[in-house]
Amino acid sequence: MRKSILLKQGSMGAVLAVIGVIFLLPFIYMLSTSFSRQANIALPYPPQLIPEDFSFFNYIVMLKSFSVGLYYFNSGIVTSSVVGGVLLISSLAGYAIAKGSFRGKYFIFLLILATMMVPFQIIIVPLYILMLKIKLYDTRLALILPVMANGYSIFLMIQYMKSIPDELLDAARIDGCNEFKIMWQIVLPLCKPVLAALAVLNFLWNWNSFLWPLIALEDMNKFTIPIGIAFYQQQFTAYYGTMMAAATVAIIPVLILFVLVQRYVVRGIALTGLKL
Amino acid sequence: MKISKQVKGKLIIFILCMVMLGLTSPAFAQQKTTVKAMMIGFQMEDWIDPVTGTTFNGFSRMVEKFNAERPNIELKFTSIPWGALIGPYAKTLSALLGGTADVIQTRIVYIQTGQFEPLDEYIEKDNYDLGKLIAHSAKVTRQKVAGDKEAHQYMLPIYADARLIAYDKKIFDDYGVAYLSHKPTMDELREKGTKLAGTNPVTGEKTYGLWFEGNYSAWAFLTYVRAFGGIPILENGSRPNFTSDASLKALRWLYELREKEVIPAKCAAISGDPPGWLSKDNKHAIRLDHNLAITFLAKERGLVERFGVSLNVLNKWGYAGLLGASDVPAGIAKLSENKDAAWEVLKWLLSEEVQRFRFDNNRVFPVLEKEISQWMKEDNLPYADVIAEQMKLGDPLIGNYTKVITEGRMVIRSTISKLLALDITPEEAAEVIQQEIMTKVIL
Amino acid sequence: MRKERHWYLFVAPALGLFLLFILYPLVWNFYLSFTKSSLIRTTWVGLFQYVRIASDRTLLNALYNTLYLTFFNLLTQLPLALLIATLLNEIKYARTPFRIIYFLPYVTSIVVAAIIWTYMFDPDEGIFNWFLRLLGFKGLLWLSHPSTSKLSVVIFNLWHWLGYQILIYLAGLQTIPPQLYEAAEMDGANSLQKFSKITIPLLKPTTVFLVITGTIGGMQTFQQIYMFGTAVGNPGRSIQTVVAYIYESGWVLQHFGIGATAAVLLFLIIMAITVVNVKFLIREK
Repeated sequence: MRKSILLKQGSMGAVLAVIGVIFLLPFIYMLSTSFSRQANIALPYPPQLIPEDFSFFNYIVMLKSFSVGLYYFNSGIVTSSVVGGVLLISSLAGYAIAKGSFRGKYFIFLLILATMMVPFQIIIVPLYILMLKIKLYDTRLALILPVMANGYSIFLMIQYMKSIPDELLDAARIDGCNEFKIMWQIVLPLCKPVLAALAVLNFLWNWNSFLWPLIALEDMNKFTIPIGIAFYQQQFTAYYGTMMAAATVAIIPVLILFVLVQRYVVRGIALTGLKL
Repeated sequence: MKISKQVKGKLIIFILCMVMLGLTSPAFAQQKTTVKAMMIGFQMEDWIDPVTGTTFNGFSRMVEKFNAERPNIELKFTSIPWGALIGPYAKTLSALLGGTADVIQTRIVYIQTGQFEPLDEYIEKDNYDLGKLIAHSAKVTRQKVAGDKEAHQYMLPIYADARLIAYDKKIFDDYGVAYLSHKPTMDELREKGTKLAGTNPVTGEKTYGLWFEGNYSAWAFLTYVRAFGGIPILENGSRPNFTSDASLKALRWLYELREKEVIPAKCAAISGDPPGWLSKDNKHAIRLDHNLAITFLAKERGLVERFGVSLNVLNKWGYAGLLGASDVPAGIAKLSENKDAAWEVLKWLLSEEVQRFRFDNNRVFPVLEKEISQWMKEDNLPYADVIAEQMKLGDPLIGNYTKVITEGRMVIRSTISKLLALDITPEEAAEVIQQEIMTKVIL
Repeated sequence: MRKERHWYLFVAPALGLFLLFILYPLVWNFYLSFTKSSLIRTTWVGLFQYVRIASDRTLLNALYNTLYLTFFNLLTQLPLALLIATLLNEIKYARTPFRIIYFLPYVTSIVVAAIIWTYMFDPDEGIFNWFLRLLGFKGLLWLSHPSTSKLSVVIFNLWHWLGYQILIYLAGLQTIPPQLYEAAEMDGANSLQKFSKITIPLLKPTTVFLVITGTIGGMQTFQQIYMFGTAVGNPGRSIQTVVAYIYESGWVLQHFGIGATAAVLLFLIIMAITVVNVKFLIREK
């Protein structure tokens, strides 16, 4: 009996490991190619795990003309502003709808649900004209403002806040606290898991955002990572080794960050699956 | 209440960020005249060639120099790379709609939006000599837009370009085939390409006869239609004519060579050079529609002896290939508030200093006719004669860059890609190109 | 209610942003769909664009591609995700490292991943064909031929999305009380029976959630298409999706009216899918 359990566990591990290697393959390929100097003329064939002509040359070439630090800085500013904004706006709106009573509440709730059905891609052209008109074209605010009110985040917040007992709030109301204070000091601390989940999700959605920044930005000094690398690819597409070095610096730090906070990411993602 | 402190901290950081951003966005009050230039294909940062390791200077240095030399003008210079990113379109539109740029480089077809300032007065005032620019190039940017009684010089070309045919002499030698002639015909390309596809008798490696860039096929295709005697656009470029015999011949030519594996299957969706091209390991005998960078690359990589170039395929009107010089010129936006300063910038872009800098550091050819051969000689660059000759042979019919061609090229690209995948017959392809240009481009 | 008014302050930021950055552009897009517009010049043409796109073969092709990709994405991803999630749920060691590895692709930017995969799909020197040749096959043309380009995109999407679906399924599996399995074991059920009689039915809400999000996400596919085959979805439009079509119509061909009309169409399709799915979901509950 014990032997069969051991066997079962062992074979499950083997299957998972094989799948894991397949998942890691693109990353391994990227790393290995990025260290091959000849890869700037043609891809190494047959593929080599550690290239025969191992060198850091591609990284030197790439760092000279690819402002990866600047792009990280830009992505960081934009994404953290979005995440901060989403958390604040979703908390406020979520609290009002979950716990407040006012005329039009149901209508506003429906409106928020409806915005979830609008794919961002279809409003890009009008949004672009709007940004030109209000002079926000080619600014970071153009990337931040349109995604700061997020229907899905508000919805998740409402669902979560509804589960907080009203008695807690009533007690505070009797003590004379105003609603903002109640939300800030009593409700939000209880919402820690959902806040963390929303932070993670909005980070993921916005860090890799591509189409809108591609259209809304012009100044290379404001480019985010996906746009930066897409433009770099236009110039260096034939140089596989250098491109792979650029790809490496564009994703590895994010992957490391993910590994460090993976527990929160997993919890956040799981929460969304269970809440709807 | 630990969490609330954290949230508060985040909130404060967030607000600070927003304030910072708010402060940096609007233009500060300035004494200087600010000129914004929105250009395409300038390499702004210093860069290293990934193959040879040579370091080149970025154009930002020239912009800094410009600003240092002219205390009354502040030049803000933005550049978008070439390629599939349609970035330039969105950027041109914003420049035209929102007045976000004074000097704009864009496709010539945008002249017809009527959003560019005629340059005639400035040219006259400065007695500016357009004769120094390469043949035809300034003529094509002289156009009439709606409401004009006569044509005006709306834009000026700022670089020159052309396409050649390049080939690997070693593969020709291995197969014992005579090198391409100076003026190859479609038949010659077909014959030699076919002979050069197969197993190399010396090395035993598989080789391909012809390489064709399937993702960017429009200019090459138009060149071949013209070579077969076709007129792909009629009535001043307002109507497509792709069901003609010539266009069918060009499509069949491609289809047949693809079918015989003379053109590799991979070409159906490919951008740029074949793998190993311009290296010792090259396996592609002839590269059609090659850009002028070959002169720099062959020299830097020490492969001048090995690779040869010929003129693009001549047509019965005596032209060969696209008229590159005026494809993407620059002009001054009508909405610009600093037109005088913008004209200074435009002149500077055409100056010997800037043209030379781009030639040396960005592998971009000067639009100054005399300097092309002169600089190539000074730098000891190969293929100078062929390039100089090809530059003058650009086909003005393609050089019109009307809507049918500028916007129709996406239709052409996707259809040729399908043809090269042998997914559609030449007859069907001709129909599709014609019909899609009629319905998708012209409406 | 005396205090009613201040609630509006709570919802005001969200409402303001929604009105300005979603509703207003949406209405504008609707307006654009009744025009012929290069954005520089706009003329009212009524229903012309709607009539036009009804007979547009390219749009029909894009719609077909989008549905094809979405369908096969779900068909490949969901069963595999469930299988891996079940294994992960039962394995007693190294669960976290596996979970991390499977989730890495989802965290990776699609743009960067697509660059890497383009090289891996290369017919001559790519790693996939190297492997196929090792096994004695001829190798495929992958992204270079219409017959295999969709397959390539499906494989890419499988790699990119699977980690997300595994996580969701794993969370679902952990809500199933172990007593259920124990009871079934006492009744003599084998693993397969437990899986089909307990796991699958109890995970139905999770599956429905994944189908909804997957369908909506699939309808909006763009980045990888753009990186693999430009806005026209080469080779020969074989992978052009609806969003790529909208992009091509506007930013490439300068017909923003057509793009807007196709966008309205996409909006209606997504709304229909959502409504149908939500109805289905409510009935289930």
